[in-house]
Amino acid sequence: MKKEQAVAWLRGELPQWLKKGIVSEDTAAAIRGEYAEVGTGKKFDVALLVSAVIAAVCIGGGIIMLLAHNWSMLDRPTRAVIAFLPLMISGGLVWVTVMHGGISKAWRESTAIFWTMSVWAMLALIGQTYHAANDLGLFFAAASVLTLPVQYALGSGVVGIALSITAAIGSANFGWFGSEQLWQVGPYEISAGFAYALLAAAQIPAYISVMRMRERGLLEANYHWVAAISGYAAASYGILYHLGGDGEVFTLLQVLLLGAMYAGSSACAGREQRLRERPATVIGAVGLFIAVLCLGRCHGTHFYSYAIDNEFFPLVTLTLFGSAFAVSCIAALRRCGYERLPMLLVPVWTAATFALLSWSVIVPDRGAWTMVVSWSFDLLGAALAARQIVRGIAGSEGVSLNAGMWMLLLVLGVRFFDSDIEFTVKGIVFLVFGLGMLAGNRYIAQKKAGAI
Amino acid sequence: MNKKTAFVCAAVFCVQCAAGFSMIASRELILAKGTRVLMTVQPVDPYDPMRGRYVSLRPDMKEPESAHDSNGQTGPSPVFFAVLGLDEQGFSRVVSYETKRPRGKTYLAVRRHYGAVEWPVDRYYVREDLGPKADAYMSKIAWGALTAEKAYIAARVLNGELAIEGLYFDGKPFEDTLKKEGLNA
Repeated sequence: MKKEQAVAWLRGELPQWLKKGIVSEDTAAAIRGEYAEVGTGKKFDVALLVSAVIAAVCIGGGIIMLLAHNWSMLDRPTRAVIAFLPLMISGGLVWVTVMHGGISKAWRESTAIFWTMSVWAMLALIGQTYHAANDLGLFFAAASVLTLPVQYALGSGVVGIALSITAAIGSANFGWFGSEQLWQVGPYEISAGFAYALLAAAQIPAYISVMRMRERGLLEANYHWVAAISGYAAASYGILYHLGGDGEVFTLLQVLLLGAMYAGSSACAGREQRLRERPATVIGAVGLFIAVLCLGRCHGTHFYSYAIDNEFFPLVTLTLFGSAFAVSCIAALRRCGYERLPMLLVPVWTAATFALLSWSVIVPDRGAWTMVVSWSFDLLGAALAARQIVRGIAGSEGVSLNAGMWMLLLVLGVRFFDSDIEFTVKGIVFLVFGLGMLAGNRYIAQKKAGAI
Repeated sequence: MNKKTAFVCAAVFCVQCAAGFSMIASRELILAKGTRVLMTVQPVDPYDPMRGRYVSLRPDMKEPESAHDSNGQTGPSPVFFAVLGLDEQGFSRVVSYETKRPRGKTYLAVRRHYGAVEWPVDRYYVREDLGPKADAYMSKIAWGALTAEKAYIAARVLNGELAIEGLYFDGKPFEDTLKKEGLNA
C-alpha cells in the first residue's frame, strides 16, 4: 500500500476507534496532526509541478513565437536587444525565487525551465540575426553548456533531465560534429564533442546526490533513470567511440563500461536499495548479459580477428576503463561480498578471451579457439541464468526466478534456434523449459502462501 | 535559498549575458570595421527547427586546385587561411591558402572537411514565408532559367572572421527582387 493510501485509511478509521474507545480524543487529534497532509500534499505537489513546468514552457515558447512573428519588421540592433528580453525577464524571476525563502519546488522548477529556455532563445535569436554559420549540433552544445549551471544553481531536476538527454543525443552524433570548433579560448579550441562530454560528465555530481537520497520524489527518481541511461549512451557512443576507435576494442570497452557501472552502483548502493532505485545496476546487468549473448553468437566469424597494434587512444582508453572497472569491482566485492561476483566475471572473461584471441591471431588453428571462446560465453550465460533461478527459488523471489528463466530462454533461443539440432530436440527443450517456468512460479506462490 | 545561491545565480546570469554580448559585439565589430566582400552563392536546402527558415548557401569561391587536395584526410583539418582577391566582376575568389595568418590581406579562417573547404557562410535567415520562394528563385538562377546575373551575399571580413550584411539577387536586396517578380506576398 502506498503511504498516502495508508494515511487515508488511518484517518478514515479514527472515528470508529474513537467510538469504540480504542483511542482517546487527544490521541486521535495527535494522530490527525502527525498524518495530516502527507497523502494529499504529495499528489498536489506532483500535479502542481507538472502544471508549472508546462506553463513555463508555454510562456517561454509564446514569447519566442511573438518575437519571431514580428522579426522581419525590426532592424538589426533592435533584434539584438530583444534577444536579451526573455533572459532579463527570467533574471527577475530568478531573483524572486532566490530571495523569497520557502518557495515551492514547482515554482523553482518552472523558473529554471524558463531561465533555460530564455538562454536558448537568446542564442537562437542572435544566431538568426547575424546568420551564424553553425549547425544544430553546435547550437545545442553551446546552449547546453551555458544552461548547465542553471541545473545546479536552482537544483532543477527537469533541466537535469533535458540536459542529460541532450548530452546523450549529442554524443551519439559525435561522428558528425565531434571535432567542429565551438569556441576558441586563446590558442585552445573547444570542440562540440568535448562540450557534450563535459555536459555528460557534469551530471555525475547530481546523479550521486540523488543516489544518496533516502527518500526520492517522482522527479528525482525519473532524473536518476534518465541520467543513468543518458550517461551510458553518452559514454559509450561519445567518449568511447571517439577515443577507443571502433570494432572489437569498442566491444571490449563497452563491456568494461557496463561492468564499471554495475560494480560502481552496487558498491555505492549496497543491498539496501531496491532494483528500481539502482538504474546503473540494472543497466549494467542487462547490458552485460546482452554482451554475453552477442559474444556467444560470434563463433566462426572474423569477429575476434583483432590484435591490438599499439594504437595510442584505444590503449589509453582500455587502461582507463579497465582501471575504473577494477577499482569499482573491488569496492563492490568489499561492500556486497561475493553476491555480485558472477556478473563481474563477464568483463574479466571478455578481456581474457580478447587477449587470448589477439594472441591466437599469430598462432595456427585460430578457428578452434574462437569456437571454444564462443561456447564459453554460452556456458557463462547459462550459468548466470541458473544462478538467478537458484537464487529465486532459495529466497522465494518471483522476480529473480522469472528473470533467470528469461535469461535461460534467451541463451537457449540464441544458441539453439538456428542450430542444426533436430526439431524434436528443440521442441522437447522448449517444452521442458516452459513446464519448468510454470512449476517454479507455482512453487514460489505456494511457498509464499504457506502451503510448503 | 541563501546568499550563496543568489551569488551563484547572479554569476551564471552574468556569464550568459556576456556570452550573448560577445556574440553580438564580435559580429558588429566585423560589420563596422571589416573589408566588404561579395560572394556568389548557390542554393542548397533550407530549415532549422530552432532558428527558423533560411536560405542555405554554398559560396562559389573559384578555389585553386590545391584546395581539394585532402591527402586522404577524412576528419576536419586544422584551421588554415584563405586569402581573398577579386575576379573580373568584382566578386571574391580565393587567391591562395596559407597556414599562417596573413598580414595586410583580406582572408578567412577555414577548415577542410572530407576534402572540401568549409566556408563560414552556409545560411541566410529569412522570413518564414519568403524562405521557399527565395530558395526557388536562387535555384532558377543556378540552373540558368533566369536571365539574372548572380545571387550573392555581401559580407564584411575582419581578422579571418566574417559577418553577413545581406543577400542580393541582380544587385538588389533579395526582398526587392522577389517583390518585383511578384513573389513577395
